[in-house]
Amino acid sequence: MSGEEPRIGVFVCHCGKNIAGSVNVEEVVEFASKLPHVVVAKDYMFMCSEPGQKLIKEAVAEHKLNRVVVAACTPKLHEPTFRRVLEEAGLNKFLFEQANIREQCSWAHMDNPEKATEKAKAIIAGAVHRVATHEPIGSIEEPVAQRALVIGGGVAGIEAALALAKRGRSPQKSVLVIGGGIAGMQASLDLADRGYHVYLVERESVIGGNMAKVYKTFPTDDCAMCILSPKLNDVGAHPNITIYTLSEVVSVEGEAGNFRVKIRQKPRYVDLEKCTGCGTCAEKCPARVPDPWNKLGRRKAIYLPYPQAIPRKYAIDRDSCLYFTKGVCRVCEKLCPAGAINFEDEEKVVEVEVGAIIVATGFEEFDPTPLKQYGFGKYPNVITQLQLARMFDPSGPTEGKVVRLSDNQPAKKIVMVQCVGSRDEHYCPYCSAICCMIALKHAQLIKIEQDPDAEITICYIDMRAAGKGYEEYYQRAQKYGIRFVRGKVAEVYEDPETKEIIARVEDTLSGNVLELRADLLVLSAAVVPSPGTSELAKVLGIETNEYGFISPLHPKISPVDTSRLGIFVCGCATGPRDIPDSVAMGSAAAARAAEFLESREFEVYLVEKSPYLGGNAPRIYRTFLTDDKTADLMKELYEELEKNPSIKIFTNSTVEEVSGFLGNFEVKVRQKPRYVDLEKCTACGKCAEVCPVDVVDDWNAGLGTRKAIYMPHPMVYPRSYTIDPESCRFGECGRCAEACPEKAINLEEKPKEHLLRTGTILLATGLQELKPAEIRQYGFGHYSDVITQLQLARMLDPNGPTEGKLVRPSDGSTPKSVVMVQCVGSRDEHYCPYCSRICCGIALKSAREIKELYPDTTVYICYIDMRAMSYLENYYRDAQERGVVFVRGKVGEVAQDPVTGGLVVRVEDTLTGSVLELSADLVVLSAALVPPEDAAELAKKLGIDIGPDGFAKEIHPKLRPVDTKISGIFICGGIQGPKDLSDSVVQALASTAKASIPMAAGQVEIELAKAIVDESLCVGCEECAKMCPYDAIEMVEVGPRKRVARVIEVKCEGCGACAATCRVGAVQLRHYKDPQILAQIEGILAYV
Amino acid sequence: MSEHKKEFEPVIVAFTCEHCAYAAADLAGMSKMHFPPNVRTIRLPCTGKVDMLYILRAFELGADGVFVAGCLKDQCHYVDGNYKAEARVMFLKKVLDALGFGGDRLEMYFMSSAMSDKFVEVAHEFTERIRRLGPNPFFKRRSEVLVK
Repeated sequence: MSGEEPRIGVFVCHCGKNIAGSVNVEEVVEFASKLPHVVVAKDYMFMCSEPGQKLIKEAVAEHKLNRVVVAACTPKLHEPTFRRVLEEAGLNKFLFEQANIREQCSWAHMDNPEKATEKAKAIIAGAVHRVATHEPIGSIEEPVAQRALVIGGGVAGIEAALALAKRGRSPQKSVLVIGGGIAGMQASLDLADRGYHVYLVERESVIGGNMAKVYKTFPTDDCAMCILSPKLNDVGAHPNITIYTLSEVVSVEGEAGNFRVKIRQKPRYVDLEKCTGCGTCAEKCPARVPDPWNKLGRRKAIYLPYPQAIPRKYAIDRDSCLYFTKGVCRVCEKLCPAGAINFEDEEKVVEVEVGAIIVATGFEEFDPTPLKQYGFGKYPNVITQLQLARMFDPSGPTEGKVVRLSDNQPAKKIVMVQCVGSRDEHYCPYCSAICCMIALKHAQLIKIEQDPDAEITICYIDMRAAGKGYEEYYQRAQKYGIRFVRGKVAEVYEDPETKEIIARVEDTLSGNVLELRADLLVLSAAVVPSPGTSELAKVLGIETNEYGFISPLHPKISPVDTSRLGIFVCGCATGPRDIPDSVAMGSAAAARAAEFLESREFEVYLVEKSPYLGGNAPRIYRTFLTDDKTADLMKELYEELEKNPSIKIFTNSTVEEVSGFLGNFEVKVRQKPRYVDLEKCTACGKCAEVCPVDVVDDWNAGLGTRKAIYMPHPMVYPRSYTIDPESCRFGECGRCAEACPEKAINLEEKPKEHLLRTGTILLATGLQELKPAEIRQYGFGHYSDVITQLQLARMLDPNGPTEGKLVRPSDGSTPKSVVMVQCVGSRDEHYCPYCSRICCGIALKSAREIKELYPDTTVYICYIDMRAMSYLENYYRDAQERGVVFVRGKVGEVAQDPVTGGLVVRVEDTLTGSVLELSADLVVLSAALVPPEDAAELAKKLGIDIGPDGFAKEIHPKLRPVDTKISGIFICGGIQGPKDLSDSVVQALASTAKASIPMAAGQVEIELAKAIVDESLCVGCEECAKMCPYDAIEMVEVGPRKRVARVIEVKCEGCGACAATCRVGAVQLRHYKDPQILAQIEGILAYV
Repeated sequence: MSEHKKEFEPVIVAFTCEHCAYAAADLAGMSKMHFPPNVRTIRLPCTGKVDMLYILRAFELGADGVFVAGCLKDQCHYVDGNYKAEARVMFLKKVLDALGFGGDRLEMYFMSSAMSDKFVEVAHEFTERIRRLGPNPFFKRRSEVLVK
């Protein structure tokens, strides 16, 4: 406590007419000047402007103020501004309180100036009483060890380790980010937080991109703006980010590490420094033009696309402004209280020097006008999904009502048309990946928020709900009574009387042609590259694909690199993807850019449970989509690992205990003996030749056998033999040790314990294939010719157990017919209710490969929905062309024909309604992908959460896909949920971007606006510790029989749940202490 | 009843979390949606911070009604603070009923920061409810003492 008598200054802002229009400022100032401890009360037109800030600083000096109240807009807008003013005036920034008399007073009560004035007084009195009790709050710095622990040695773990341990060379410490959507914002924030300067170039007048328009996000129905807005503010206020709006990159010279970039900035005609975003201009602007942001309704020629936008500054659209088009008007200029309008504004060209460039130009919704059969642009009641999203928004063009555009009446019958432009060879042959989920979201939102009786039909081809929690979302939609019709809408026409739209569609499941009547027909239009993407790609000298999206260097292992060194890409600029993937990619691109610039490397401990690195990747033989041999991809990674001395690898090791917190974790690792000296072993194989033990080869997914001393594959890492202690006879045998020419074998080797101290922890323990034996109807384990996709992959590998030959395990013959069964365990409430996401891709890959090697073999894939998202759609089409037979139906059972003894797969073909009996020489099960057995146990040791699906839980599914609830612990790859190689790499890089922020700084600054315990009052009841969602309270012994709670500031998130629980008032949340809140309550109730 | 006596205007204190309900109230203002000026908000990091003491103190000092507004269920920015608040509110409602003060003078609401319409609706609905219930029975407002 400062102890001195409070001397408070109250500063009331007019905000032009925004406050003064309904609040009597003079009266309020008079009232405020008489409140206790108030030494001075003043008013000013714009308190946030430079002169307003100066006025406050001068008053602090003149009147020796030690507390300040500013009565103005919401603190969410300008609290950081005024806190900075206090610091500049020499006061601690917490000796400030902002009274919100604009958003929650003058604007909300414009209809009642008398009550608004009365309420403003109450709010200010509350703030004055509260600020009198404020105390200065400082910050502490905690050291962060510049070492990371990566748990899991699969591709994600290796990529993460490599990214952390690399050293860059660029002298430039700034980066150019092109595109201010969610991916670009994420990349900018990650780099800026790490100390690099970011130039963020945005073509529009504000940042935010498409996410600002979507209203809510699937699958959690989180409000998009709620989660986006804090990020917008962070980007807007970050000292390391310079935003260029209305700007485009016109030229790039130089090379990686030292680019010189010219940016052309169009005139805004509004001075960014002066505009306060009050909106008086737009209110009076007489020009109304179609609103390109909402794609519905109208806006003024001077506009702010949406209220939460950053920068919250208006802009004039030259093409619709009456002054520019007709030479008359200038009303905005006359009315602007800040004098911010500047019709003389001119185009500028700015030149910046950067070390790396990130392209995050995103996508736009395909304009469905050319698809004449859907009547878009012709019939008013045909709209797109993005337009529908804008209708939901209470501050949107229809004020939150889903209405027919023909007469503004509520829409009761809605028909959604999927794949408009997507999966269409004439327009976008690829799948747009997100439209199914958008349709599911909107359909449910109509039911939940608009009209539970609304009739909603979704016409689809495949329902592609493949992502974490997505299948569950689809299931929920079915419970809401939404009708699903499997078929592509052929044409629509309008009933001229009712303006209803009639959609003609063949229901492929019943074979009937339906005519669906709709008040609104909603088109799920394709995702296409933002306009100008290919021109930009030319300027940057990077490659694009045939659809105009930017091509990554390698879609699987270099998903964020481009064809030009030093230029990276993220988000929908490379193709359609959802928000979490875009966010992760933004972070990943930041990680790659930083890797390039960073002059410091981190030490990495890479801990792997099994004797070999690589995880599943080397076993799957080839990747889907690109058909790369994973052994080749892995070889490059292993070589890089070998070269990097900063990475210490612990194989055969498990995490036993974890303690500590961000910056200073202590991890106990137990390393089982390998019995073979890695340094000495030359992998000659003489040991295995003499080993008398044969056991089932688990590395080959149970196909074939191996010895007790073995190396599972010639391309493994470390390239050395190992002994399996479960099957070795040790002392009874010892032949291997005798046979080893290098004397590398030590059968007496003992387990080791390592205590690793690290700053951050990355969890990358991957996933595994479900053992489908428990799903009895498929006969796995019962019939030897029923295998899994992983076993099939092992067969196709020339270095595998069958030397690359496809054989029937029962007799070694070549199968003439192969039946693949999708969704074995997945999308099945008895096993895994979720979709395993990648099995469709895997089945397509192996089916194509079989057709290539054995053209005469018939391959069937029995599926429910073929979830071939994005470019995988092309791969799917190619499989069809190669003659793979697709049967839409869930397999009922796999049985043996009593006569021939061959296998028969019974499946209902839902497209014909007939039950097929497919005779199969080989049945391949696409078994669900599940978390490793130790996932829950390991999560518990780390203190992180596991989701209902058993995978590790991220703190926020949309915007923080790799963060966990424990600061400093991150998740990536399969442990977060089923995903392919490319998504695993993206997440691995993303998690390094996050982990690097505190590690690069070497410390974290913790503002102490956190909980604090008065140990003299604490009775040690532990209630606060139980209540804390972050495990931030520990119990400590402070004397004989005296235990008290203590807050671990690094872990505390400042929610105050502990304080509200404490029975004796010993725990308080600083800046929200009980006396402070009580003083505010007293203030707002005492006077009026 | 004297004709000078003004219509009863309840005073309502709203404890709001800064992530959702407070932001929803801001958005209502930004969208120029009107809600009754009777509602005065107090900003907290999370409704999980709402101490029963705060609510009781507000009633003691003359609030005619109090509501607590947090994030939507399962969308709390601090895991489950809104559930903690709900439990306290539900408990306190019973206590207030037992005291004869009336548990209806206290309520818990959930909304996201984009649900400005919900905040406005809640503000209207709750103000009307308190208007019907009449003034805080345990408190004599100065204005009432003065206006005869």
